[in-house]
Amino acid sequence: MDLGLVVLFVCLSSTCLYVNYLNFLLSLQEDLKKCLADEKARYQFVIRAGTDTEVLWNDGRQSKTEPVYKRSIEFDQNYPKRMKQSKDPFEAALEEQEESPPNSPVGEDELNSQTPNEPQNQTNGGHNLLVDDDDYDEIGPNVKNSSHPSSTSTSKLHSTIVNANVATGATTKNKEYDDDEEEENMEVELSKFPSSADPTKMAKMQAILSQFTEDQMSRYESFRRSALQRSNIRRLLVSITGSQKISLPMTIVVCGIAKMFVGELVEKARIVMTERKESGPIRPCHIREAYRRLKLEGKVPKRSVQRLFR
Amino acid sequence: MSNPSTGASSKSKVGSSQPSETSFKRKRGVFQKDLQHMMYGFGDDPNPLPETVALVEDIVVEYVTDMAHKAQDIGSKRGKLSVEDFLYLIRKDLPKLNRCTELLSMQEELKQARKAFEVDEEKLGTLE
Repeated sequence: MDLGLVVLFVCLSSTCLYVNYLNFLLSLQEDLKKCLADEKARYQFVIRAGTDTEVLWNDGRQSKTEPVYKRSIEFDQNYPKRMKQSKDPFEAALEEQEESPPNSPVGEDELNSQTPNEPQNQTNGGHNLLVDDDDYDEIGPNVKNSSHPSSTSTSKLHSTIVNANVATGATTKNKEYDDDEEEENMEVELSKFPSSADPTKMAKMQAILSQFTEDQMSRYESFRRSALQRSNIRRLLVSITGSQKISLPMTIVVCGIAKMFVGELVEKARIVMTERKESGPIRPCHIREAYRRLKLEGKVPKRSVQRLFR
Repeated sequence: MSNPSTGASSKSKVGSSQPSETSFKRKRGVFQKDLQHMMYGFGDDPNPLPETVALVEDIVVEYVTDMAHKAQDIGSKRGKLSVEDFLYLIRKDLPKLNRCTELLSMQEELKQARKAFEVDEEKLGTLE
């Protein structure tokens, strides 16, 4: 279990949630083997159909299922408040690890009392796993199959993983929802992923994030999730360098650099706007001024040869 | 003075490169959708103006192009282009450098985790 604890404090971002999740699965492999080989076939599972989520017990002896919890996803007016109340599943699991894991009869009750929060978190967890990183989509379906059964004799985190998994599978197709401005309507819990591995920084980040208004939260979500498509960047690099061998790390680095550059541009453009006492959406003239200032600062690579014909 | 917003849609190839499969013309609006969200995240309106997005896209493409050319110049001394060349270019810009090292280390971790996970999956598959 130490491995799991260590992993929890690894540098966090949406990417790292995935690492945490994978490593946690690894550390629970032995338990998993025990669960899978359970003679009585006791486990809980989550089904997600459309907007309904159900948690059910499987009873292997009688070959029937027993519903535990059911919930439909709905637009939540109390989103900021709920953010403060809902517990970070990883944190909750961390606390749980320090106690002894519950036996399945007891575990059932525990899960029962916690499931009101869980589906919400699971939706969030699902969306969190639903990251700007392309790699997740490949791994998602495979991982879902392998980790489907979860025994409540392991920590709550396990079922969290299963739930998050199912949610990921269900919502992978809905990646395009990001395109709408209805992003803020989906309940996404980003409070888990602060800027660094440092626990004090994590705590600070949590404190800040819990104070966000809905508007700020949606903007932060856009900030974290948005990225330039790796395939497009790769195509661009190939056409620039002429070499087909553009390694993956290079693409990742260029994506990151480009995103930060966009950030510098937009922020500087906002500064220019406040200087000119204008408001509203950013206009091209602001961007041009921002670009000019960045050039003066030396943040834009200068052409050694003037581009004569465009 | 270069005026990115009036840049032509055609893009010239690098002189010393072999002919690439991609077309000569640079399509417009390649990054448009992603850029809209990105600009909102960084402080723009929830719906940025289309001309602003087009301008930012032009600037970003030009930025990446210049960086890649410079990196190639550096890399050509060594032989081939590598990640190190890009990192060398942004060495003065600390936030970018830190972010890139963070991205690279996370990528490594992901790779390790995935590899280890797949090995375990196999073991699990042979359980029963």
